[in-house]
Amino acid sequence: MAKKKQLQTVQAPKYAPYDVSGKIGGDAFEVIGSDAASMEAIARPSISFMKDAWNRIRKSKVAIVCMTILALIILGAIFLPMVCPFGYEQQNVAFQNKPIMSPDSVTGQMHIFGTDNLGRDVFARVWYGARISLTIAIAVALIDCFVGVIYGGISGYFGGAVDTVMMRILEIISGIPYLIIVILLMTVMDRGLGTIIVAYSLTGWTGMARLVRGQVVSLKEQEFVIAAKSMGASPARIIGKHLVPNVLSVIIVNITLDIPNVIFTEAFLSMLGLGIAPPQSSWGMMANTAIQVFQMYPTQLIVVALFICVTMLSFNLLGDQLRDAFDPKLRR
Amino acid sequence: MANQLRYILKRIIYSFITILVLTSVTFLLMQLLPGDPFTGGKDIPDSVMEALKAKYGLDKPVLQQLVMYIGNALHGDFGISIPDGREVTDIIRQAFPVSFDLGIRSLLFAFIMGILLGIVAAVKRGTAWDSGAMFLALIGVSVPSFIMGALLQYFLALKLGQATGNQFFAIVGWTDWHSKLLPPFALAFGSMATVSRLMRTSMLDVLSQDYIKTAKAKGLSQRQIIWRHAVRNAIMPVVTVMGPLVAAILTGAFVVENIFAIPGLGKYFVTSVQTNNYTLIAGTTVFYGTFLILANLVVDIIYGLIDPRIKLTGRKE
Amino acid sequence: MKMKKILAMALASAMVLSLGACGSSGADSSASGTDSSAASDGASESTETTSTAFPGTAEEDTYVVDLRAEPPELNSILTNDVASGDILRMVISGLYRLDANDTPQPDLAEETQVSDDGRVYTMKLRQDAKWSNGEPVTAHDFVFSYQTICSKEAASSYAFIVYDNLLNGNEVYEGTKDPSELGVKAIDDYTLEVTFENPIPYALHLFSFASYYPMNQKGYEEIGADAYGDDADKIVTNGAYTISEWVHNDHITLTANPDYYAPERCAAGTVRYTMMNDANTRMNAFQGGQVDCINVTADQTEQAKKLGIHTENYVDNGNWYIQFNTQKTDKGLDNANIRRGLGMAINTESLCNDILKDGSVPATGLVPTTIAGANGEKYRDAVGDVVSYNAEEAKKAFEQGLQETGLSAEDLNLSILCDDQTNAQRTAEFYQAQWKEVLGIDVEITPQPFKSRLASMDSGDFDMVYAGWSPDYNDPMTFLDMFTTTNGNNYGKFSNEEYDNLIASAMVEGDAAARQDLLAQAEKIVAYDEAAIYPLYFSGVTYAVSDKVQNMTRTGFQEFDFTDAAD
Repeated sequence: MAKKKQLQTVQAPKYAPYDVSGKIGGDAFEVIGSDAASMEAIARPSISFMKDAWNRIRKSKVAIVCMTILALIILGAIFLPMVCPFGYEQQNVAFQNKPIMSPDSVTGQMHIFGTDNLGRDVFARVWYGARISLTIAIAVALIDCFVGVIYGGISGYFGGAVDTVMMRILEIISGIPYLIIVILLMTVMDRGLGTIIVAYSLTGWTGMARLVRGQVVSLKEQEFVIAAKSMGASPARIIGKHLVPNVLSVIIVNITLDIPNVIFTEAFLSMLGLGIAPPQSSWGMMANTAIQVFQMYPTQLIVVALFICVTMLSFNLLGDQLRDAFDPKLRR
Repeated sequence: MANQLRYILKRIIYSFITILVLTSVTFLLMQLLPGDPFTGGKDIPDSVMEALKAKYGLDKPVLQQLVMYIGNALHGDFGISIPDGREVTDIIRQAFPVSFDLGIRSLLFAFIMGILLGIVAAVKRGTAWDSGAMFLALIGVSVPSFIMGALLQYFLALKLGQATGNQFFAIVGWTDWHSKLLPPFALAFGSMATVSRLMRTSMLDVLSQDYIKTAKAKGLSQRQIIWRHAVRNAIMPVVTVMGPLVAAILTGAFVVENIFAIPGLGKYFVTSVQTNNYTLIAGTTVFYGTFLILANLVVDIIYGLIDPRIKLTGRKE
Repeated sequence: MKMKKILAMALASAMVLSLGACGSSGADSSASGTDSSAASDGASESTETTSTAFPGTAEEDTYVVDLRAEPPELNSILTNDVASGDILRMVISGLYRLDANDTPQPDLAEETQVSDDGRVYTMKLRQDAKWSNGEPVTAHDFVFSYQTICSKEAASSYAFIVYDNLLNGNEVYEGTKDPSELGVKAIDDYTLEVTFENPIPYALHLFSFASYYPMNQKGYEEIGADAYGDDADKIVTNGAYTISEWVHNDHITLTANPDYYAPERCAAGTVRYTMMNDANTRMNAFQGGQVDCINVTADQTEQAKKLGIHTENYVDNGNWYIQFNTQKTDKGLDNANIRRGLGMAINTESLCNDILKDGSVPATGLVPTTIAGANGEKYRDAVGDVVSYNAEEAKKAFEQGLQETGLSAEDLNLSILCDDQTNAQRTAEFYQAQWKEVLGIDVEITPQPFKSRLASMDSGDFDMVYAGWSPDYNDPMTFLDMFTTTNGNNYGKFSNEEYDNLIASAMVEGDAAARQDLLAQAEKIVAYDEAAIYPLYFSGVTYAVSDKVQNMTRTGFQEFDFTDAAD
């Protein structure tokens, strides 16, 4: 429905038919000549690309629900660790691997999601972990997207020798064993959030670049690009204004697919000593430990898996809505 | 056609150069890894260390080692793996058929299931079909193979086997077909999800295009529209991710091989780095690199076949 | 005695190699104060008394045992790996072998004469032993083996365990003397004479160790040095079992050797070793009846109990401790009180019971409970406890150390290096919490992959490291001489004159009791007074066995041994 309304903003034709020959009922018509101003007039109010997209997102119930869930998770990540009676690092080793809703053996306070294998409160850790995991996931997804789109866009658009060289470089980068890169990084960088982001971004963008390049290659021969080119648009403008919006849907899907990948790569990097420092928690690390004891204590895995899945569901559905919102073909 | 052939030939030459550069870069980087291949936590006397280095040629300057390595590699000699003295070509020859089997099964599963799911979800957009396919895809991307593999092994192989008394899914190994069901599934599930999501999006793009409407107006059946016109065009982004997905499946195989105790190549790809096994690092990198680069080449050629508008050569008239 | 020794181990589930243990002794098999008895007793016990829901694998007369990782190679000249040693012990007969109680028993050496100065061993060999290529096993096979190891061309990383001990070993290795001058001679085909540079109290243990196994020259040269031991058909064996199949990274199958001179020692007709790296996988395979014996992790011990799986445990001779980098003066690590305070603050009782849960016991000194001492007594029992957990004293020592150095607790910014394995990190997190609780300091954890950790230790790029050692031979010296000023394993650059002197005196001391006394003094200095390292626990191994398995030997010196059925 929402889309239909937009169509109605098209103005009624201002010009009136006139009698060319002047033979039939000439009096019924008045020659007003052509109105230069109205011919130039834009047929609908000028709405920027972003604003238009935002308008459409706003009107989607699904998008609103997803954004609310994500907002809640983010707010929870910020505030819940502060009010939780247990610190994320606080151990009670005599009270480990307890199921959900276990009152603590010392303070009697409730471990809502139980405890892990060092007797730490899973509730506190999962919310604290949300901070780390979401920060990294979003930062890395954006960086990958930014670098990948530019690299892939340039490579695909220019083609020829530029494409050949850029794609061969990309192949070399993705061909070096990742573990070597990570271990070498470890010798030169201190651990921390920044290091994780760098470590992932070093090779993470290649998938996106290849995808964008592939799309651009198939789009650049289409009429609207040729039209823009013949009107003298610069390559930067063609890539930015014409090609990227058309591959945006694929980019968005790829970003949302990337997020869990980032979460679990973070766990791998942290294990190797590149990422967050224990006793800090992250969803990836929690999943890593939980899978080792899931046969005995399945709740640890279920809790963290649920958080990851709900977040993913929200990101994906939101991504779908964004896809529609940004789709130039759905914009009339 | 001649143009096409010349392009392919050129690409093969480029690929060769790329592999050479990749080998060199990896060769130089791996020498920077902390530690050496020989220490196991104790102090090795200097004279023993000298003997070890001399045996594996590590006493020479790195560049000289690299030149020698490439020279030997061109003759098919990839050296001997350091702690065990096995020939690298021997290791690859024994482990690769298993990895290949696993990889191909996984890829086929990922692509066929992914594309079908994507098409169904797009065509039946907004229905329960769409939600179902979406949900599967969501599980696929959210649950990495190390969790998926462990869960499948425990519930389907062990628990189901104990409950029914019939070991339909094998717990470990890579022998009969019972053992070849769960590992490819665990390995490919994430990739299947990626493919299905991309396919769905791309399908929706295509279905909203004018020529589909024209086709509809001409009275073509839904089936004809989908298979003749839409799928062919929508499959492009999926073909694009084929390269990276082949890479993901190859390197991700380590985790699944580990869980199901499959004697494949993935293990060497990881442990060689952990143990500073230089020759094996170089050998597996060359091998995997060649595979990836070939996969990309195939993808680019398929591009041209599916969409004739694409000019791979980049030459514009 | 200048045998360089031993190693930091990778954790249980590690993919990295850890080092072979050599030699052992002690008549008594009961290991430490845990409830476990020697493995072989336990295994037979389980079949006699209790029948669990885990009957084991279906194949008859076959045991399937999980080795966790593949042996890199089966070449006794090159090997330095635990898994390789485990298989070689099954397929090669040496001069001596370890029985179920880790005591050396004559194997090929029928009759041994030792010279009065304890340096020359003359052994009459059995004449009924045969190599798998049909050749007889003779004294020349030993001469060939020892001469090969003591040559740089062979490039054996464990060569020093032979050349450091045999007469003229160093000179032969460096090429300044001819190999024929090495202290090993074939008097005739079946008489071997081995001459050591110095008297070696644990010589019989050395003779049971892989580096001292014989090697058939014809077979070795036909196969080629590089390829030898790489596949089932690329090795020549003479032991209780033969290798019938080796699928790399999957399994090794051994079959009882029909030509073996004492077939009654074989506990089974067939033993298959699997190589499952993942702990969950091992547990699933065990429950599914695919394997008869697996190692279980800390968390799985509770699962095993719940499922009614029969488990056993033993102390494996390893000692895990915190080593301090004494060069870090700005962090107070040059101060003995600070070091001791840090070590003593860790509740090792809770560590073993709540975190490790694998049969490990709190360390009471640097030398584990299993190591032999003078006069047939265990060293640990003879000299008593050196270290223990005491939060109050830890705090006192730590604060006194701070006063002495003029540092404040906030300035320290200590970090601890550990392996990148989940279990190692979890244990380090426990230490971290203990330090926070007892001493009120924040310590950062730096996990690193095994090789990186070693490189960091080697370059002195650490404050504290959580590391472990397993013994080379069954003598306290293997642990105690590691921290002398010039020792290559002294990563913390600890230097104490009194301690260096005590060790030097012990090396030349002929009287066993006096030697033990010197060693005990040295241990107290290095582990307590000066606390160059602070021992935390003697590591344990817990494993699950099916009802089927009998006559398996599992100790710190020989895992998964099936050649002791006649003992």
